[in-house]
Amino acid sequence: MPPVETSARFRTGRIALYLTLTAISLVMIVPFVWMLLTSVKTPGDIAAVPPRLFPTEWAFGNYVDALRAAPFATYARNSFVIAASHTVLNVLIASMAGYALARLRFRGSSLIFLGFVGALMIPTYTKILPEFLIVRFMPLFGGNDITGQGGTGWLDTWWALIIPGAVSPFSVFLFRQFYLDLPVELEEAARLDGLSELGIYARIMTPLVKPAFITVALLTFEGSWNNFLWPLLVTKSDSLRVIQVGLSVFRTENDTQWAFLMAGTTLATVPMVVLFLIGQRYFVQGFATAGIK
Amino acid sequence: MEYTRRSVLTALGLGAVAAATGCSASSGNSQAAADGPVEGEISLLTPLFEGSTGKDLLEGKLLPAFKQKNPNVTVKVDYTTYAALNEKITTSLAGGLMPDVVMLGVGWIPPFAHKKVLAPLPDDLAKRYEYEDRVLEPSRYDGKLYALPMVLDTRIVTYRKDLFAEAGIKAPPKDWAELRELSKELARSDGSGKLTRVGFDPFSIDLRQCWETFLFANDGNLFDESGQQVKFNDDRGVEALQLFLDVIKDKSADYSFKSSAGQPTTLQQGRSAMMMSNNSLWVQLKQQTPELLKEDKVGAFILANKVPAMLQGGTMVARSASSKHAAAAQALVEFMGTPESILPTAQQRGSVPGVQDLRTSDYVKENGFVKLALDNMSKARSEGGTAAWMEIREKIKTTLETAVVGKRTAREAIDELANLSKEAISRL
Amino acid sequence: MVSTRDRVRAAASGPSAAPPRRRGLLRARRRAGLLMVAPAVLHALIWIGIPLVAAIVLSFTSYDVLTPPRFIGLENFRDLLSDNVFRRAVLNTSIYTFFTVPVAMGIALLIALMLNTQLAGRAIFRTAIFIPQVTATIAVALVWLWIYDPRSGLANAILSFLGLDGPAWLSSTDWAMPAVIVVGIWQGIGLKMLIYLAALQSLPTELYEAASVDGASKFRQFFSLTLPLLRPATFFVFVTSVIGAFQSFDQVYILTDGGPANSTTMMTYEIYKSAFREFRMGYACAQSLVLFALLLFLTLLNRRITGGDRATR
Repeated sequence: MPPVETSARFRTGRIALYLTLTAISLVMIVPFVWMLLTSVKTPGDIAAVPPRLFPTEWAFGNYVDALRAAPFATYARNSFVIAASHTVLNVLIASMAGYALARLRFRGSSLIFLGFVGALMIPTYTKILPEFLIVRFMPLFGGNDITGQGGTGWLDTWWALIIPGAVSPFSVFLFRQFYLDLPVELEEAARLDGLSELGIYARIMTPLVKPAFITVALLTFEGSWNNFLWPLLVTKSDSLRVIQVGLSVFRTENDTQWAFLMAGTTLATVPMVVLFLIGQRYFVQGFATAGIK
Repeated sequence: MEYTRRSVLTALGLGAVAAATGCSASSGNSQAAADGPVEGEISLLTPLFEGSTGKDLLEGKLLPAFKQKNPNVTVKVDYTTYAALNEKITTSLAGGLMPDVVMLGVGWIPPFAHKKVLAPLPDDLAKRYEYEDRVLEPSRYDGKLYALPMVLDTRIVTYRKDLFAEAGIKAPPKDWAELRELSKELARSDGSGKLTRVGFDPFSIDLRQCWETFLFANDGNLFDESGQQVKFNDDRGVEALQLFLDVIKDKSADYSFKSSAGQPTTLQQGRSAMMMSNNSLWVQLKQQTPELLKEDKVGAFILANKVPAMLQGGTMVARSASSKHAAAAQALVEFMGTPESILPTAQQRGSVPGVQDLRTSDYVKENGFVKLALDNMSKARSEGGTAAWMEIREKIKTTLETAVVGKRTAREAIDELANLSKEAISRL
Repeated sequence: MVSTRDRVRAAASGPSAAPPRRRGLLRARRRAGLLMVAPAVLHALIWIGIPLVAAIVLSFTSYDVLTPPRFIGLENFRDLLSDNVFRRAVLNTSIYTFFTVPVAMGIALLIALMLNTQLAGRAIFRTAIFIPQVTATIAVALVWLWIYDPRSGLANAILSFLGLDGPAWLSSTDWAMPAVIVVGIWQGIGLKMLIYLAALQSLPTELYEAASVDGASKFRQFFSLTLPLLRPATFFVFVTSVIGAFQSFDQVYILTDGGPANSTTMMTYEIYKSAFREFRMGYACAQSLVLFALLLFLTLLNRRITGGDRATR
């Protein structure tokens, strides 16, 4: 095959690839862009019929007004503390568990793995009441006695916000899958070098599955940042409320302040997008296997 | 650490697992009397002041005024949204942590009073201000008063005066025959026969509430006095549902023709000439389409067939039966029920303040829909009336919808709903 | 599981036959394994184990939250048998899962392959495709409601451009489910793409270099190398997607409220309604157990048929 033809084919292929990806991307970002544009519209523009894409008047003041409506700095700080704690705890605990289930054989490990998969199958709305009750009757906390009576347990504390969601079976499962197919020779060689099992996990195997770590970290942070129902249920004080609960000040039963809601939501979403932009840089072909050679 | 008798007993029998399975401390509450000293820290769970202006009102104005009258009481507010109110209350109740004062929707009082979660209020609170009897009806259970109304929301028919004039129609319909006739005259289609404007849009509000309004206007009832017998499955209930099928058949209404979230309603867009609506539409008109109000293009009337009737919903304030500071809690309930609290609360939501004395307030005089509602409070009817209401209310829309989309006849859908309701009542 | 076991077996040639030093090593390995898995197991036992036990216990009771649970034997399960709406929900959930999972997985894998190259602007595309995952539900809902609007919506505008008469999507018992499925696919692609992308990154490049030397075409490389190597990831994506689809709630909650006439109601939606709107906790637990049992059955069946996640290399 003459080289000229190859490069022409290559170029058409590239163009087709770009066109496809652009089309898909556009479909994906429509609601996000709509949110951005709505956040700078006036109430009149929002109510326009038929809906107008661009504002006739750019109301950037919406952001200032929205931020003034509630203590959003506190809410954002709380959300950040919770999301960061969840991310650190989950990455650490779930990766160890995933590694053990994938690489270290012990009696019952197969059953434990199945248990984690099974844990995914219980719907949120089934778990939420018992989980709330465990938090509320947590012995020796919040004025509770050893039987869990008398006080309010972990309710309205950081414990309730952080501990129940700290480890997700989803992440344990994901880590296990990624550790599963690393070459066994590496592990054996490290063992012969006298490295402990923990050392093999931390120093040899883990660097090979960095994409899994990035994935779990991104998903955990994002999920925890966007959580609404659980923080609402277990907190009472405004000083412990999180960003998603805070945003509901713009939605009341009879009336929604769309512009403010979208401005606030944009401010809450942009950090997640930036985080993803940064995180995805570590998804580079050959990155993972560099350690093997 | 305080060892009450209950906690010791619990320690003997129940561990953490038992607690988690729901054997909580909420059972066996003695009905605390409210005659102690008015003091202590009490909690208030509210879905009413969740917005930013609401928070300002409650914490900046109402609670300081309460504190001035009751200096020894501290109120801790727990805000929730209406959408998550059920989850919030459910978990609190199961955990034995019912807030001292709680705001609930119409229809919640009978089930909660039936299970002795709420404490009855002194009867003279019902005569403190000028209430229409209908207004306090949903606050009562078994002859006792359990709650005071905070804000009311009614379902009325709104219409476009300009479209009426265009079609040469002088007055709103007096009964359903007229309603059907006018709807036909007001509907418009394009060349291909597709509807561009419906004469009547009953579907922009929840189908359950809409059908209830029609049931009441047809002089029907949901249940009997005791809440044990289903009453809606007679001809009056079937006719109410049949009317929706009729206007669809007439091509003067369409089930897909309804207002969607975030957009102006069909009435505002001129895509319907009459629309079932909540009185809070007034606020929406003022914000989104003020010219319609300025040019006097929107009117409202009370739905009528055999009798005039409007559906009354709303939020009531009640006291928990397990409150440790019963007197303080009752003081807060009484305070929240005063016209001084009700009026600004209704105003920030575009709702109806349920006290007749407020008919002359500026807010009511300026809000056409609220004024219409308050003037006609004697025609208000409420949903609920049975302790099984929580369960039944969830079945109404999904069951009646089967008829509206043409899968069943009105009679079949109503019969099915009656069966489901009887089952629910039998489970009590 | 199997693949690890095989490899360890190959390395250790069976624990019973091992010499003493190896046995000590194996024991150390077991102990390390138990220690490393312990924190996660403990957490799951408390926060998922207890709720599961509670759900099992409560499913035999009538519990309205206001009064203590009352044992009623199998009554909840008997009621379930005659609950037409729940039966409809099981059917709807199955249909939804059957259509969303394979389509979303296929598209996600294709996109991941496209984005796993040295492409200028790669970061932007990756982020754009992940964005539905972080976009606020309310924004997603409003835009899709507008797209499906029968008169002014985008979907019917496109159809009428093609000369077709579009349906009343979300108000139609026939078209509401397909509409919900499309949103489900749209929303599911980002996460699956991310996991596939991460998995593609972890593939050993030497194998591809060897394949290129052998002169295998890209097409053949994909089927004989990439796809088999992706099996653990595919197993993961498939299992979690089926579980996720069976528990889908948001799409229905924001788009159709389960209607019209129960045509889009899902199992988790019914569970939510029983538990938190109707105050029938016991019944909701019985419904949850049906969901749990169905998922467990499907997962075990999947493992049986596909041999699980054994990577063939």
